[in-house]
Amino acid sequence: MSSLSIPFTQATRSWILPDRGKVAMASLIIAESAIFTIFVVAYLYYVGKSLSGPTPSQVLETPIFYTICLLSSSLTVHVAGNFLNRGKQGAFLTMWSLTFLLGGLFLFGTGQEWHRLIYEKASRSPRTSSGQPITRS
Amino acid sequence: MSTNATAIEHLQAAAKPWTETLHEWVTTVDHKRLGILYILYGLSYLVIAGCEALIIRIQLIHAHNNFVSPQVFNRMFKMHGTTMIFFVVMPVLFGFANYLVPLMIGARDMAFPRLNAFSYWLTALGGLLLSFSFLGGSGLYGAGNAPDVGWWAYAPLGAKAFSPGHSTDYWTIALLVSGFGSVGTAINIIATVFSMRCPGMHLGRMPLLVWLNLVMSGMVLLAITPLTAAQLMLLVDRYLGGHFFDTQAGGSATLWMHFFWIFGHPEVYVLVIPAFAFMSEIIPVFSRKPIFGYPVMVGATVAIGLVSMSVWAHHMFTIGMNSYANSFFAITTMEVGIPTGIKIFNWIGTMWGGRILFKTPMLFSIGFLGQFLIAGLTGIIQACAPVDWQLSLSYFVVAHFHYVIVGGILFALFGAFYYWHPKVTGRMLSETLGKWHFWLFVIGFHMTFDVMHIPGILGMPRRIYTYEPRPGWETLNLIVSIGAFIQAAAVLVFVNNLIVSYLKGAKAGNDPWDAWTLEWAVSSPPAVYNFSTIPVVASRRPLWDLTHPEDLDSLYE
Repeated sequence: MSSLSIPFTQATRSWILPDRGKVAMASLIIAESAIFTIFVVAYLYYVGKSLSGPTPSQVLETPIFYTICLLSSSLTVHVAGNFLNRGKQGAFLTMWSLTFLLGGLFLFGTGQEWHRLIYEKASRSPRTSSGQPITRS
Repeated sequence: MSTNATAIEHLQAAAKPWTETLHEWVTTVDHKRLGILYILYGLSYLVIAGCEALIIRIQLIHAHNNFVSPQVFNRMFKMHGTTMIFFVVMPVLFGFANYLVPLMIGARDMAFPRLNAFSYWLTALGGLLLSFSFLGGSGLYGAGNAPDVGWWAYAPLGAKAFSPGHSTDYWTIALLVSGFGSVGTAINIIATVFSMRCPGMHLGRMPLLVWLNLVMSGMVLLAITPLTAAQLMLLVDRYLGGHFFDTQAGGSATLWMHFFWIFGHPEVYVLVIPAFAFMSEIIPVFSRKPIFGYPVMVGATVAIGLVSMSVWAHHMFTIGMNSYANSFFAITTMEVGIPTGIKIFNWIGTMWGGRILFKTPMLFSIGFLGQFLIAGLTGIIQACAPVDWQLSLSYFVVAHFHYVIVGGILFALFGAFYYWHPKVTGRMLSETLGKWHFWLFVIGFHMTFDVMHIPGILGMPRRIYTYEPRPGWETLNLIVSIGAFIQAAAVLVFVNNLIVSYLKGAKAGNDPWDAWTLEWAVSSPPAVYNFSTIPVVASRRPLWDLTHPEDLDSLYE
């Protein structure tokens, strides 16, 4: 099985193309953005319209600290990547560990939020005149 | 590679046990093998979805027919639509993209071969999940129950109350899984095109097929993902007590429609742009001329990609949007006809004055041109909201979109099969059987889908199990159903051609069509590594430059 029947000339000068990893990651971020745009649109559309409650303001607080953790982890992993590229193993491990810590804190906060949402939902739901919470099966 | 090496390779191939060959195919990361797997997978589902279409048409062949029950009928049209779009056309188009893009840009593989294999198997799993619903849709109770909520699963049909059991879950999860596969493939194509081109192939020299698949992949990122998000929300509604689409709890059925069509209409262009890509390669070769207006063709494709993301709600004129929304979506829908018209003009411009060779790929291309034009025109008619109010939910719409999908995309796909089959298998498809396939399909197609417009205009609603014997309806439906069987016969001729030609077809050689893009520079079928030395190109038609040094394209581009 021959691979090339017609000889092409060889490249005479360097040919530089974008890094495939970066192109792929940019594409993935675009796809993720599209998914989350739909989630956000659905949330904004639905918020306040629930007929049975509870509304987010009844059961959730704005998670300022955990939001800072989430956003900061993007920065630390970026810095870690830079250290890795420059061969600074120790600094990389420090920032990498910090990223894990921040990510872990965020996950812990999110878990807490869900726990509250699930287990405190009934007690904060709108109540009937007899004081019984309105819950949905 | 030397003759001795070739002989050794052949001997090694002959000595392999079938289990080893199977293992090689299942674990392959080679873009060509994955392309073939995608195509074979899509063709298998073409037969299944085609049978579902025939069941639908037998049921509608005359009034008050009871060939199948209403429940089975609903399952058939849901499964036919979903299967055709997600598990026939998309896999076959991805298969061609997988096979051709690296070869056409002078690369040895896709940018991420393992991601490529992973994406394929996700797609394959999605189709199998959907099909399994025939057996397992009612869970452990054993009764078969494929999803029956229309291919769009409008709320509240998808809700647990209206769709008990697991049939809708199979549909949801099948599309989620295959959606991840599609996004993986799209990312891979984009990275391959941007980062793997051979020296000299800057963006202005890329074959149009590559350009169009790049645009298609960009659209997949933006169009498939909203469906993924909507499916996740549907699952939350069904199992976690969410109410996104539950109108009785403050949710919105319209929201689902928006999300579905934000995916649904760009999806039409995701499917048709690769069909345009095939036309942009086949028509010049069989007209013996370079493509007319290359930069304009690229610009028109990008314009189609952008405008088509803003037309989705023309599927929703009848739900009662306000006049501003109606006007916006009517105008954008009409606008998308402009770049599409430019493309048709340029294909005709390419043929104009050319030495046209009426081989089977070109016959299908000419069929595509006329039929896609008509499909586009009936689309523009329906872009006018008041006209749509009359025609929506009628068989006119069914005829229109089948004109796009079958008359446009499927004809282009058949053309592509005849054009690239020699490269993939090393053997030519039979021209005689090809012409039988073409003419039978043309006759069947026009009997079915030309005639189908008329009952729509007469008021026959779509999605109905049966109908009253109103004047003309029975005769028209009979003709439509007969046409469907003629198309099925044409597909059988095609499948027969594939099998017979694979076994006994004439040897193709490297470049049987005297074409000029890079895939024709390598052997048929190509070696695993595609190119022993990476080529360097100086124009859009590198093979032309090599064989016509006295008339280099690079002097004019």
